[in-house]
Amino acid sequence: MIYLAVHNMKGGVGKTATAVNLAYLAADEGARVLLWDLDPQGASSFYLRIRDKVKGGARKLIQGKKDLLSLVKATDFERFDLLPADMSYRNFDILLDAEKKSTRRLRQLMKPLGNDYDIVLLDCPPGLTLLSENILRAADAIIVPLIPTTLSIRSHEQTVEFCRENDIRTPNFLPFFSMVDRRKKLHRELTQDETRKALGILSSAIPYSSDIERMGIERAPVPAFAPRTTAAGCYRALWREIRDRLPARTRRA
Amino acid sequence: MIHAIYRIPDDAGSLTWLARLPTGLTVAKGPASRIDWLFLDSFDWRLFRAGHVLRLAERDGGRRLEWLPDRTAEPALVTEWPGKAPPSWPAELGMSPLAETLAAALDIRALMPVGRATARSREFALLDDNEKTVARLHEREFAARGLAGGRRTGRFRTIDIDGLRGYGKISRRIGQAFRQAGVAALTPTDVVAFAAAANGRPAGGYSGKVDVVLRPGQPASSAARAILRDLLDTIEVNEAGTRRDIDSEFLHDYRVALRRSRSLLKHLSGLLPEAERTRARLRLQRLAASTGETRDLDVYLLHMTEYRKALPKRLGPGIDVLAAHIAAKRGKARQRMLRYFSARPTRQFLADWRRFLEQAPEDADVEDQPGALDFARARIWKVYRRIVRDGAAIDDNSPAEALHELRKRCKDLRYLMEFFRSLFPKRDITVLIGQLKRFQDNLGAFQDYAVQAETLRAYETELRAGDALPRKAEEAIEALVEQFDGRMHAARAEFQARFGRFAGTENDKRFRALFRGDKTRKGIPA
Repeated sequence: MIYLAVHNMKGGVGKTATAVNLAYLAADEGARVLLWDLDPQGASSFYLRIRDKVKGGARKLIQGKKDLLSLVKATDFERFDLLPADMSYRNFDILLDAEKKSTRRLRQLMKPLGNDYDIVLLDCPPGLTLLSENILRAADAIIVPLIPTTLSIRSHEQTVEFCRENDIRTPNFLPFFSMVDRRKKLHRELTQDETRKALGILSSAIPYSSDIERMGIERAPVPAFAPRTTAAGCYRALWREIRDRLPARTRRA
Repeated sequence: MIHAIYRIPDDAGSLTWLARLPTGLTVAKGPASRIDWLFLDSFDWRLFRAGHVLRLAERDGGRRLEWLPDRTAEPALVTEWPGKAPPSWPAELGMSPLAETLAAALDIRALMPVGRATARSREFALLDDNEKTVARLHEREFAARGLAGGRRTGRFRTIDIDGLRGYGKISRRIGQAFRQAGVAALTPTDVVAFAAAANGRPAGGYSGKVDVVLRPGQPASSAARAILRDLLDTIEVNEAGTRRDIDSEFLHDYRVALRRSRSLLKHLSGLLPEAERTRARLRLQRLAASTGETRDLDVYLLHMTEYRKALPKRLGPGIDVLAAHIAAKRGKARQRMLRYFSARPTRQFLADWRRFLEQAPEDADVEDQPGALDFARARIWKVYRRIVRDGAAIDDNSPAEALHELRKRCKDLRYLMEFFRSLFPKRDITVLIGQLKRFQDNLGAFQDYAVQAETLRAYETELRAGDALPRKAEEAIEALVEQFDGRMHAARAEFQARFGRFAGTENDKRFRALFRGDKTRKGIPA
């Protein structure tokens, strides 16, 4: 099993759309995928028409009193399951703090999922919290959507710095440009090849697109409801690039 | 994950189904598809009897093997199977969990196609008020085809509830609604039964055992004909499998049916016309003799794995020489056997024998017959007494032949008890057969090891004469013979204790109660 996370400490960068669309594409290719909507806003759950409610809430979950698998819901798509969000997830930090080895608790909780899934994808809330640290420690790769702006790139650099300072074994960061608007000069400049390569950013980018915004109306992944659009094609290219960068085997079984 | 399968009555349309669904759900018609399932099992239905299903599923040009254990509706193991022909042996699946599971379930029997079902399938998605799919239904209409050709027989319609993770409650509610409407829940084995029936071989219909229901007052010769007919059926179906060399058990069951027939015929003096009885005994004996060599070689090939395990690894190449020698001999022996099967006198006899057995008994048989129950009790009691007497006379100095004779009498007794078991209380006869079986195991072990040791020595001589006996093969054979001698002696040493248990007071009482005839009755042939 492989653990992926979509994370950026900055909000509104397209994390949820990325998580839902990539999870769908991975499952479509044949992998058994679980998407965990960790954001109390429950946007992933909403996109997949699943109620953002978890029996027993975050407390039972973190304390290990609730079997993770019993909370999973099938989406409308084959091999693609969701662990829904819950409003109580806003207390994750407090609950994690009360646990032993609080920075590694998440990874430990997810261990039993290995028999049922090939990929677990975490859709993270913004911020750089104890939950974020758990995620950074747990994931085999961190997918980072970046709007081509100075602040967005700076926030990514802050995360990398945070990992170094806290001795988090350098995670495999996979940043890519998200919500790219060709009409904006700064976007054009930053997404130029030399700049992009200098920053270690993937070549696939996701454009700012009304097809992606329509996810809220269609309540489905873009490649499912609009498979022939540019946006769907970009997500496919992004997934291929990410997949090729993943470690061949899971590091820890 | 499929929650359950239900049978749709033939006269009900889809709408009848949809109307029974719990309220609050809307139905969306999904795609249609075709299913083609080729069911695989051993000839004696080992998978079906245990509630397992193995099917080669063909969909969209892809082929996969699906394993549904213990009557579960959802495949627990799935393997791609690109080959056109289905597998015959689990080993063809390589080192895989499915191969291991199948090997355990099938033991020494091979897989063969036992039925084929094709279905048109239509999916229905059930949606909640968010238009989220909360369950799927698959309506399927099966047509079964004979394996040989396109014969279509019967219709069989099912509806599967395909439960989704996290929505089990809804699937359970749908199932409940169906059950309340009086609909039968099915298991995947029911679909196998449907397909097998259309193919002309009822699922679970074959076992090597004699299965004839007799009436106590039925004339003995009529009971005997019924048993002999059942045995002839077994002989005929197993001849086909033996010719195709599917696995070694066809020939084994064939031989057992021959032996059982001969064993019963011995007891029928004065009940069947003597000319037919004598001819049948002779012909069946020759037929059995024609199979002996092939069967012996089969047994050695079956033992090869065990031989390898019993010997140190370095003698592996020696075992290879032995295995190759046996396989070559077997090919030739089989040719001789099949020629005998096809020979005109053999065909003529089998045809005559069937005609004779299917005749009405009163045409030819001796009048004034004992009833089947009286006959069975008298014969079983007599053979039992003889075994007790002979067994008691055996001591450590008795020759091996004495044990061999005793073993044959035990087989005779076992067959009689099995032929006529329907006439006796089920519990009593089952206990006694079980006791006898344990005693036979001891006698069998002694005999088997003695014969194996002797035959291996003979092969050694053959190989040496052909200048084809490497040092390692000689060592392997010597090591095996030594082990067999040891086990033979161990079996012999156990004999007294085993016999004591079989012929002990408790068991003797049971035999007496069940079989000792009323001496005042008349007409029981001695």
